[in-house]
Amino acid sequence: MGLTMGTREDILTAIRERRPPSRELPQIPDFHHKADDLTGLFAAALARLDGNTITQPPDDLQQWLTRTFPHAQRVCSTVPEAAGTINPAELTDWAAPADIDVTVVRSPLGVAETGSILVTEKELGVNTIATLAEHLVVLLDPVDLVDNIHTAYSHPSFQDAAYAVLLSGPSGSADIGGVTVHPAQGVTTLTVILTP
Amino acid sequence: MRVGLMVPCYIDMFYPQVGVATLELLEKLGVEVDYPFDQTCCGQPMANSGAFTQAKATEELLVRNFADYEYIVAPSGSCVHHIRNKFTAAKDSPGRRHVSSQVRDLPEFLCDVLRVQEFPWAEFPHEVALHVSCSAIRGLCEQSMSERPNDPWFSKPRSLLEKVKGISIADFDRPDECCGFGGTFAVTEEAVSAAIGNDKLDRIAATGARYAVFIRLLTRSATGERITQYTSHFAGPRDGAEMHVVLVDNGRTQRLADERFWRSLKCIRCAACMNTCPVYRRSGGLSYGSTYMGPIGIIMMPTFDIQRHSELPFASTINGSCTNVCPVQINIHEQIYQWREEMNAKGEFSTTKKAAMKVADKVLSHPEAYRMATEAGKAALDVLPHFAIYNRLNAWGRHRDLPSPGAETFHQWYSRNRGSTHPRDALPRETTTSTHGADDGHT
Repeated sequence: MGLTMGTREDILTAIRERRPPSRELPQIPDFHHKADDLTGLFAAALARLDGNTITQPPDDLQQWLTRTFPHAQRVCSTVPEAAGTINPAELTDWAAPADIDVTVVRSPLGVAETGSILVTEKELGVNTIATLAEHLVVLLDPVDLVDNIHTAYSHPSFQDAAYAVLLSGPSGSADIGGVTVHPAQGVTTLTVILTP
Repeated sequence: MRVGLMVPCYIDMFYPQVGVATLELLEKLGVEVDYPFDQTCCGQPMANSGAFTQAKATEELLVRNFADYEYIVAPSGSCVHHIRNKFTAAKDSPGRRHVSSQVRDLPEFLCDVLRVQEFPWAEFPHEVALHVSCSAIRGLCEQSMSERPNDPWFSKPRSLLEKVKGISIADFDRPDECCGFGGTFAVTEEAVSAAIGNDKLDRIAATGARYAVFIRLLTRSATGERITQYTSHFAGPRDGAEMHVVLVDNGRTQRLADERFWRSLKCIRCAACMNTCPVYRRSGGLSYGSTYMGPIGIIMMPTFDIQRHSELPFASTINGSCTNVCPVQINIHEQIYQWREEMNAKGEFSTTKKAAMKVADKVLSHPEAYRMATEAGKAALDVLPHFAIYNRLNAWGRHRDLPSPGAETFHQWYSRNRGSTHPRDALPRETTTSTHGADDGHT
């Protein structure tokens, strides 16, 4: 078979003809847990993944950034609470954020079960600012916390996104060619500041 | 109750004392035991190698030998598992079905049929470590499985041992781990971890609530975590760009049409089967020589290139734990077994393997030839290693030596201690007039 449009139809037709008889899909149980303390659950889940949660937001985010990352030269902020040294609107391609020290972004959705935060193309612009930076600081309104992945996937900020990534803690380690590499990919620290 | 004692070929040759102990224990418990003299083997060495045609005569011989007994008892979980659950090479008949339903591993027979409560005569003041075979655990359900921690715990073999005075049973890590030949794999490469990334998630055709089910299953089944660091979702292009989805068939639609193997397409790439596999955990991924490794690779890769991966289905002990841990319930170990048959059917056996299977067929389906081979002591090793090695180890176990055969086989011991050629001649019993199946010894 050549590389033609016909190939696609061949594959799809073969699937239609050969797939096992369809049957009723099972009911998905309601996995919703009544949790009083989503903040506590979120912080505990994120801590398991080596991420930090700050429940008492600093009065002055700009000062906090300077104090926390004294050596940071290139700071990319997408939030009005802090001014960075890099204007995210000027980043043009995915490789441009390669040497960013700190990225600050607001997340529309946090997942208590997994300690994850969601970011989409709306918050990021160029998607790689969240992963190529050395450190990631995430602002999250506590009211945007949901209990688990099921509720997260039904949330509008996920449903409406073309690209959405759940970030869960800083990058882990990996065994690459017999050598433990840390971090394997992405940010070395991830801090979530719970602030309206 | 009249019971037919089945002494498997490897016990007959290598561990005849196990046969003797089984016989004496059953008799002590008041069971009338016959030992049909024409028995050889259950056929598993060939069937397990995918050589179903060559297993047929041996399986049918077993049916003839045992079809008339109320129960057939064997001190071997794997033979009983084969006779009960895999006895498909023999022609279907009432005899075959009877044998499959009435065969019992010794612990099953003691627990479930005789319901033995005590062994007042037995004393063994020692600490023992108990290993129950995978066939007995997952094939015969004699014990609960560690990979299903929510099932109530039970163990028929252990409950029997605990009735012996003075014995203490040591606990150790992973007590139901497959014995697996892992230590003998000739693999020196450092294991490479199977980090199956989240980029594979685009393979899951599910949306909304169903999608969440699979995401939650994925890492829980892989590393035991709730989620991995990055979980990316692509639902469309960014503004002003395009998004292209490339369909790659690579034999998958062909597999979809195959009733035996299509379920492997349900794989969500979680790696649970690899993490539980005793072979994979020791040998790592490189030794499989294929993109998809471990148990799922064994049933996946042959569809891409049957010739290149013809040996893969034999890189498994068929202990079955992969099937138990699979979150999407792919019958992995059943498919591995079926792939072996497929390799034979498609002529993918090597010339030496074909020859070995042929010899095994001839020897194991003819009692006289079997006796000649097994009772010639050293001469047995000229024939037997081939089917013993091709049984499960194949290329993966070339460096393992077989144990030395016993000084005499169980069969010889029985003849010497219980009289001439037939148990009914040897034992003064009142019921000697009852008829059996093919119970005539060679005279």
